[in-house]
Amino acid sequence: MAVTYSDVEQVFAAGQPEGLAAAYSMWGALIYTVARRGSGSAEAAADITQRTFLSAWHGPRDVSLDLKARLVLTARTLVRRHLEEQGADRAAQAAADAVIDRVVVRDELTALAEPSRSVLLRALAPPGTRPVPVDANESGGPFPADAVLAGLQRLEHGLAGSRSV
Amino acid sequence: MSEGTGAHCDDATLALVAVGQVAPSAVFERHSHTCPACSARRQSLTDVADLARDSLSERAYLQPPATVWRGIAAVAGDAGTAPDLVVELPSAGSAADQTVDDGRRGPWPVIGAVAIAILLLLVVLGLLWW
Repeated sequence: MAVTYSDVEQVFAAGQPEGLAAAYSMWGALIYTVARRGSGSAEAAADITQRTFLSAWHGPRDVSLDLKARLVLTARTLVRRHLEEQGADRAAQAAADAVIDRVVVRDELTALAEPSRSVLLRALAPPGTRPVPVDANESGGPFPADAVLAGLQRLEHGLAGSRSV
Repeated sequence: MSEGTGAHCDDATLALVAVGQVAPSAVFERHSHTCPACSARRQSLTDVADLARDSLSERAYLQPPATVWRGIAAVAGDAGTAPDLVVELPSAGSAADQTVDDGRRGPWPVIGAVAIAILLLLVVLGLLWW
């Protein structure tokens, strides 16, 4: 059974095995990256990734919740716990959180719908490397303001979801 | 916006300022710093824009070892099928892909296919000539 992106949360929530495999296929690398970059340990990252997916699978499967955000939040919490067990200080915890934020935002940026994605990537590029502006807007800027705003709002939403559901 | 109208900065223009564009007027610039609501919105958009810019250095996802899925499947019981299902990814190709590689796809399969096709063509031409 092929599970599409739009179906995965429902199939997962229904408890169908394909849902777990599809969720892992879609977000396994993201969660492992969050865990690996946050914990700094390949061994801990593998353990955190397993526990993150199993926690979502065995926990309440509420389709109204954003599954990706829930997975990232769980992984972030497990990274914090791992660092605490390792005796990491506040600065190290904050650094890990910042790295995880960066991974989450990069993922959201990749997943943005067009044209927000292209526009935002161009707008974020250092000034000297920006290609010729793609459009003009009413306020005179070189980027369509609505597309930039939509992109930044989506990133804000994804980031907030990964910090608390 | 004009001085003394009581209007707030619109989000779309604040978004442009957040990614580094110059504010459209001195009044806008001043209001976006002095109005608590507009200042907070500007800061929030600027923070996420800065984070997004920093995140461009993230070139690719790290791939978990196969043992990770095997461990999940072993505990989950009947979810043992390998997670190689066909899944639509939400991102669409764009010109931005030329400068930012998200690590989910690469040009090598296409380049390889073209190289093989050229090689086969040369072999056929060589055989015909011989």
